[in-house]
Amino acid sequence: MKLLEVIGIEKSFGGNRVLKGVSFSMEEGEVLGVVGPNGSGKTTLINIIGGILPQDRGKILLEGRSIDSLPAHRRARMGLGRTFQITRLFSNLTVLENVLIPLRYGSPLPFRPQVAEEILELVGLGELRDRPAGSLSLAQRKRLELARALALKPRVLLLDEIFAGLNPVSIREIVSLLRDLNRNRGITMLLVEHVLKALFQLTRRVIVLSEGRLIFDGRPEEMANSEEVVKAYLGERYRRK
Amino acid sequence: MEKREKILLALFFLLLLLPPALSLFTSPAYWIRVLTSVLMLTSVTLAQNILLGYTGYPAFGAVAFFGTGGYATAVLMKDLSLPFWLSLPMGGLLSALLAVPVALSLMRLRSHYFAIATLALQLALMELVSNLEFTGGAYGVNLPIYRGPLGTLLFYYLFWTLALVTFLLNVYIDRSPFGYALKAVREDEVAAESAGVNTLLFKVLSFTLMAGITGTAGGVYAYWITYIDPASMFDPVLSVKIFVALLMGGVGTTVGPVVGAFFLELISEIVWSSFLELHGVLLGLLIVLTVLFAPKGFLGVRR
Repeated sequence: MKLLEVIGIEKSFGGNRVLKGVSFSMEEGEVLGVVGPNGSGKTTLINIIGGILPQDRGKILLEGRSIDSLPAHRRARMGLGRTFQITRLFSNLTVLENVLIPLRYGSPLPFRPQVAEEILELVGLGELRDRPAGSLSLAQRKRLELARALALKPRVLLLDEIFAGLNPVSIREIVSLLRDLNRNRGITMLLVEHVLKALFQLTRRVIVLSEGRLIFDGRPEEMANSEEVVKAYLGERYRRK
Repeated sequence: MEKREKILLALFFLLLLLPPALSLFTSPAYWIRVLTSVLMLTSVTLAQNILLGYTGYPAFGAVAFFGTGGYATAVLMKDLSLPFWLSLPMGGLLSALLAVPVALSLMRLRSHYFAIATLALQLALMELVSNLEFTGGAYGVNLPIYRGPLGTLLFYYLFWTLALVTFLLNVYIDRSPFGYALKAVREDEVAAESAGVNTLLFKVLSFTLMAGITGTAGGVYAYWITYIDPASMFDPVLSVKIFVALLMGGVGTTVGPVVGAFFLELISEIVWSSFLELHGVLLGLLIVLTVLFAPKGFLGVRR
């Protein structure tokens, strides 16, 4: 059985049709990359899967069960963890408290400070546990968002541009952390990403969105073969010689 | 408990002994009256702190529930001849019950939109009560004067108890998992949902707690004053006072609201009695100075 199935999702904001029937599915343990130009509907897609936005049409199945009627917090408790493109931390709370909240309200893991500390160690924020989250740098904030999602003991991670704005060192560290989470903990991941170099180190399957439509679903190295993908996203310099 | 919370509690218990101590020197009626209203403002300010300070929703019209609790208590005593000890908790409960549908409909609004919507509720209820038969219309309700043990000191001790309970509730919220859920809502509702927090549930709970406490304060007030009318039970001046006290003391802290309420009520009493004409001007000046020099309140650490 597929772990996550997205079937014919449509979404409009007023007269603006952002998603025009997007379908794909993910196997357990898979890492799927989602790319596409700005405004192609990637973040909207993540918001719909996460339950922050309702879709107009279409279905979302987790392990074959429809989760369409479940609010976001119920989906989080079922193991759908996510991070945000523009970080949304609990800024006036400490780094540790940011992790304690999902641990208490959305997680099967025991609600203990040691558990939260272990997660912070894992993402490399162990030293900063008592700092207010609002005082962190961008790279640290992205790590904390990841920690908060990990506190849910997620089965699927929805990562919205987690590499955007990070320096190469941070990107390398997070790539290897994500690879470890996928290989050793079997966490399934959906990455919306523009940093293709990092993305291709993690995934062997990419889908491409353009103007609310899925125009490609396949291996990263085949992307450049697709006339449509080159035109909509990669640009002429990626065209296969 | 933090050090300053312990100090505050110690001072608070001294307030228990204040009335008998005062009566050794003077006739304490005046100061008892002033301190009773100080303790009342402390209770409702601490109640508002649960909502605004920890949950991030400013219920500017919280006095809607003060009036509801006060009128419910008064009507139950007068029309159904129920004893005060039964009417008061029922009044508080009724305010809390009213809060549930109000929270469900208004808490999709945020910040100033939410504040104005609650104020509209307060003013609408004032109009409603002015036009209903069983609430005495614009004339209001006369309650029997309490003549049991302690006399008017009873109301001093009732507000003292309410303020103490609400303070301890604030301390609990400040550092419990329940409080984490409220703070998550305050910080970012979308992130809170994504962390598994049922934001709607905690918003309603927080609002209901605030309304129940505020309504209970209204009930005590009604019996203390013995004569209530729509203008005094749904008074917008009280709405302003709650917010000034809260902002002066420090929103989202446990000790701040208490300090703010004591400071504001005592200062305005002193200013009122010494500069009758300039009262409003001096109080306004004080508020401006606080905003300029202590924008986070005397004890404010956050926001």
